[in-house]
Amino acid sequence: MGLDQLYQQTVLAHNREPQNFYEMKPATHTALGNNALCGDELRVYLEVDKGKIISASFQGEACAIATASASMMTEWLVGRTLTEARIAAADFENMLYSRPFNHKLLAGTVSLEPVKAFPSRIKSATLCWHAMCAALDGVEEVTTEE
Amino acid sequence: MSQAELKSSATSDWNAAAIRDRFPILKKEVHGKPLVYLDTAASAQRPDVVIDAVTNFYTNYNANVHRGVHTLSQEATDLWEAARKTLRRFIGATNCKEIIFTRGMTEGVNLVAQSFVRPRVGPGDKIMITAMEHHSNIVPWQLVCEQTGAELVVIPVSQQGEVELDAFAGMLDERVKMLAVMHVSNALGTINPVVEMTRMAKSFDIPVLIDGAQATPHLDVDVQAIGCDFYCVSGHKMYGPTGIGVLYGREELLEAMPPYHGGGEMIRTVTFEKSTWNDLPAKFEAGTPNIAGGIGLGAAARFIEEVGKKKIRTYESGLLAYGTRRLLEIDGLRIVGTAANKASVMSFVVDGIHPHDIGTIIDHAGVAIRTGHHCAMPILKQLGVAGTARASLGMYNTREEIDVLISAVEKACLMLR
Ligand SMILES: Cc1ncc(COP(=O)(O)O)c(C=O)c1O
Repeated sequence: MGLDQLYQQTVLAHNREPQNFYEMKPATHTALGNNALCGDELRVYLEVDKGKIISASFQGEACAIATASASMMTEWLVGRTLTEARIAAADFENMLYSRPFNHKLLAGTVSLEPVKAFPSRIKSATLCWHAMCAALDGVEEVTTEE
Repeated sequence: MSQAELKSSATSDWNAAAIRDRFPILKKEVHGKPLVYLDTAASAQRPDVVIDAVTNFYTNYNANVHRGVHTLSQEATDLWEAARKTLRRFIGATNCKEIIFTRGMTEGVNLVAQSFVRPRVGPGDKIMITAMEHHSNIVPWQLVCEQTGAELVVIPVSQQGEVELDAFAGMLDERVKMLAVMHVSNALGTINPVVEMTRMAKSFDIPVLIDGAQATPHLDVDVQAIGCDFYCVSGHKMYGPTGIGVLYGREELLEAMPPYHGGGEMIRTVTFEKSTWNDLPAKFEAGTPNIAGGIGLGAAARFIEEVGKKKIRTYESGLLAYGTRRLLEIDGLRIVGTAANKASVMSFVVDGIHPHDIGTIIDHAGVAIRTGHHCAMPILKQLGVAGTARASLGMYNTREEIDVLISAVEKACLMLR
């Protein structure tokens, strides 16, 4: 897969004008996702009510892949149950590590599938999903370096 | 054209094509494009003589060193000790006892931190570094501070990336028990005034260690002219193998220091009650060393000497000036690290574009650079960036390659803006 698939129009558009890019005050859940090695840092905010995500947003400084991913994720999350959100987070990783995944469930984020051909960029794409799960778990900060 | 550019183009005795020919990997293609290797600060490429020295050792002389009466072991030992002699000459040490083979620069600092500094410091004492150090010249000192109660103090660095010498002068006193400073910055390219800093430290009898990882590939290093007590060399940054380096230490200091690692080779006698230590340099070389690596490093040092340290410096300075000027033509690009005296490194950020994306996109044009924090998180944080894109030069790079870099970065900007 080539560069043009990685930086396809959908991804570039989400990077140029990220959706839900604001600090949510107050948020019921929030966590910082940090990948110092790449210099990606973003905070995910959630408003959760009765087991459902009412709204989601993010802020921070990150590469185009991480930014686009967070933009897509925050759009995707609205109206989902917490269980759905966690399943999708795991499935998003399945997609990037070339394992079977549920296309239908991840609709709206699959334009990031080409990232799987760029191993050094996978952690950028998954950063927001890790931060989202950490927020739900009440963890203040996660890192996707190892 | 700048002075440096003019000077380098006037050096007619520099044959770039002949130099490039010596580095087999430069014939490689990446994504169907000729490799443009601009990541020498992370690890340099190896010339044929280094590859041949390693292969020749394994093919014709492989045996352990200092261990056998048989012929091969003697030959291996001779090659290994010849490499030590070469490194002694290369950095201007007095004698071979002062040349300790290590795994790299990192091991050299840790050795000095644990064997020299740790027994000499306690609460109230200070270990001094600069704000621009590589993590390998920060963390070993933090460990000693935790172990002893000594304090780590940090000499400020300006926004241009230069050590603030006035502040440094004001921070010196008898409680400073070590000054550890990098010769050339891997993140910014700054050449630090190590001669002057060493002289200032010496007026308070402060021992000085220099991190020479980024200096030996680009400058003419002479440890006696610097006047330092310890100098750490990294093999893979100076066109040699990985996993090998050299610690230079002044003989009387090394003599007085306890061993760092215990094991074979570093002992004279062992009983369960007590062991006695071998002489220098063996005292600090426990276990079977990276023999092929040391021999390869010797070949790398000879190669640099053959090409000529001064010629390399002149040529690379011109290239650095050219690259800097060309990069600044790119809209929204800012150079991070603008010291007056620099070597090899062009660290930059581009408005609205993350370094990581630049790195991925230009890789597809065959251009290899490094992106991120370059193991120097504190200084990048001070300069207000989480990471940079860094193009770093070696003797094999050319203006044509800089031109490829420039158009690749321009393409990345077009794509992402
Ligand atoms: C300035 C500087 N110091 C130290 C090191 C570490 O050297 P080594 O890899 O030999 O341990 C590096 C390389 O990353 C460096 O650039």
